[in-house]
Amino acid sequence: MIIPFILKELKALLKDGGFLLLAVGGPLFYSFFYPFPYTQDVARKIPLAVVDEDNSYLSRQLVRMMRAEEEIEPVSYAALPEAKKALDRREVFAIVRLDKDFERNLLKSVPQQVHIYTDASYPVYYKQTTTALQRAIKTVSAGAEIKKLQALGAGPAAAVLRSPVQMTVVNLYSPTGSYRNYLVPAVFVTVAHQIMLIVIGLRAGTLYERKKRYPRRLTPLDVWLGKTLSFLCLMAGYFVYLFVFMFRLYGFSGGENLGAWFGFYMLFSVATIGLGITLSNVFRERETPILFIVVTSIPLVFMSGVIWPVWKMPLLVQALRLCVPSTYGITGVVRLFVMDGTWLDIWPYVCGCALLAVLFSFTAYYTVKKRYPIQL
Amino acid sequence: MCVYPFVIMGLLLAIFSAQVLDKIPLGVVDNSQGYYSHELMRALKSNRFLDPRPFPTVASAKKALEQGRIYGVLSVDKSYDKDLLKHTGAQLNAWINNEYLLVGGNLSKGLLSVVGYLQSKYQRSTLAAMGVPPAMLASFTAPLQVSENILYNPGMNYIYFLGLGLLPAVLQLFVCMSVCYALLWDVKTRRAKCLRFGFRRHPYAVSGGRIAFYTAVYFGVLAVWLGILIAFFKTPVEGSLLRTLCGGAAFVFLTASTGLLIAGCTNNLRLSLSMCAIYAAPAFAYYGVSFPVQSMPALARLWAEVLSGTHLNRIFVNELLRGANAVGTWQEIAFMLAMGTLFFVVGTKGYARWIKQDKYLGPQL
Repeated sequence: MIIPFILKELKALLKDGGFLLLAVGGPLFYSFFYPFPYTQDVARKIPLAVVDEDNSYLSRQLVRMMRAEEEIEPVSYAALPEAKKALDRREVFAIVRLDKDFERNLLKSVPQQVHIYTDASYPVYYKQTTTALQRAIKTVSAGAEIKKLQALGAGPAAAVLRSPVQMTVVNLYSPTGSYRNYLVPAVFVTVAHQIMLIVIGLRAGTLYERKKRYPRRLTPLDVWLGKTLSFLCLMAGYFVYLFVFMFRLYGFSGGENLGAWFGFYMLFSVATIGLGITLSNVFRERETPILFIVVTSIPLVFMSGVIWPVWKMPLLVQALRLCVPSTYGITGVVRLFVMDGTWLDIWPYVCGCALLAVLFSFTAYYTVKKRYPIQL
Repeated sequence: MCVYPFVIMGLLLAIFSAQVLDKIPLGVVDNSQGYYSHELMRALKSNRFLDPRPFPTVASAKKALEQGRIYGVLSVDKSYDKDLLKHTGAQLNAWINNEYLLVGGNLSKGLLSVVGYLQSKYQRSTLAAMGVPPAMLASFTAPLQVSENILYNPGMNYIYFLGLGLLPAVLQLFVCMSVCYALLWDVKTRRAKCLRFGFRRHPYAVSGGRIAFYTAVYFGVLAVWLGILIAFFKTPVEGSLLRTLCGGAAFVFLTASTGLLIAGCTNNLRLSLSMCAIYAAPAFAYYGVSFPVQSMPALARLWAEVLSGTHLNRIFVNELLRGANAVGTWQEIAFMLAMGTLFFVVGTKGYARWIKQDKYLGPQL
């Protein structure tokens, strides 16, 4: 009884042009369009102004060191006011000023300051420019320090004397600090979640507009099960496209733990479909779900905890995020798939997602029963 | 139409209400348990970015990292104190969860500043013991120093730049979708038939009247949110608030005209809403807030210029945070008005086509 219903449901979905546009075109389009601005992975060649008032051998050496940094692109300016105007016009995003006595002070053993003015109105620019500038300045400084220490008689121990504490930093999971790796897996889960909610609502709105009825031989349980399984087939298709094909195509880190992620994704899918069927009771027109669900995409990504840590959110938001399946899906993709964790590592999220799946399945069944025999 | 943007924007601002990303949990495994390692722990505790938590072993700390309880692990070598006393170079190992880029970046910054401070301190004491006079110490430890002046957002308050980026992103979605929905709902339900006479005589006045209502409503929403950002979240106003509001009005006009253009091109409510979603949903990624526009591919840079939110975000940053010259702001406003007028003219022509003939109108509901 259920299998013919599932096949009929899938056939009806595939015949609907509006459904196809969203369900097939949506993931296809977003999988390319969202990661597109992050093609370079990290911000490179950010222009910054250099005002070299000294124009000496050592100051030019420092500018050469800056030029060697991939994050920044130094542009020479004759005077500070000129550079400030360029900063105002957004032609540059930082200013470096080297004093007139730069070389003389260094040679005379007078500590010399390099003045940097960084634009923190966009933290991405700020982070990249300061990191690169500090690295270049410290490299030049280290050379001068070692020379002085050797002159003092430190000999080969000069390097240790200069850095008595050495720290090895290992950046885990995203060693290059790739923005694509950071944002896109979470966006993929949001795309699957939102498109599923929209297509379920779209289907319900279409059927409501056409005032169709289910045949009497189908019970509400059959309808709920059939609908859930047919939409689950679609979610499985999204999994293969987004997390097997596109994940490999973009070369994201991780992605080894496919089995664990698939298991968790299915749990997330059941919760999402349950929520979709429950919400679809509200929609009386085909188009309303698009209007209402699309605008929730931005808060869902930010609420997930990938961009802004959960412990920094107010308690109310922390509680609210636990009621949305996408939170679990995004946590799952990051911890299980990108970070190669196990279900045990995220067991509170597994329990939460399972609880949500049960709860929304129940509300979905109740919604179907309430609307029965009018199609949903 | 008015309440929903408030709910969404309110939720977004609530997420970032902490404003500053500090006190990041860091697992510390102190294998040395000596005077210097305790000093390190004290320095870590006093750093504003770090919240050090002791762990007995690296394995247990790494487990906590995988579970998301901490964002980094710092392991202090067993011979840390001994190496410092013997001047043989003490070793620290740090593992940072860089998957959470924002948190990982601040954690690295905190760790590097603590280690830099201790290095300088130990180096100075060693040099003093070697007989270097105190006045000369600075020339040995840091012959080249960085004097950093952080402009425009010195406290690194995330709500300043995220709030000013998210407001255009949310409104772009709402304005575009509301205009499309209102215009094509009338076509779908044949209500647009009553506009036919007006459209034949004064098409621009009629379509202008239709979108003027949404422009006014959403401009009001924008002004209220801007007020909330300034009054409650203490977003600075370094430039002119009037120019900012002019920019806001131009932004709403351009976005509403884009909605009219989409409606005029499609005459299909579902398709037009999908197109609005394509236009506005991923827009935030293109504004240059999460990733610099300069580092995007040429096509993405071009698309960023087409988005009304990119221009409003620039005006916000220019006028509120930077207090930069007015020329840039007026250029952005002029660009938005010119684009908005073009979209309005083309969109009106397209929309008038659907209204003038019965065959394009939907069945009476």
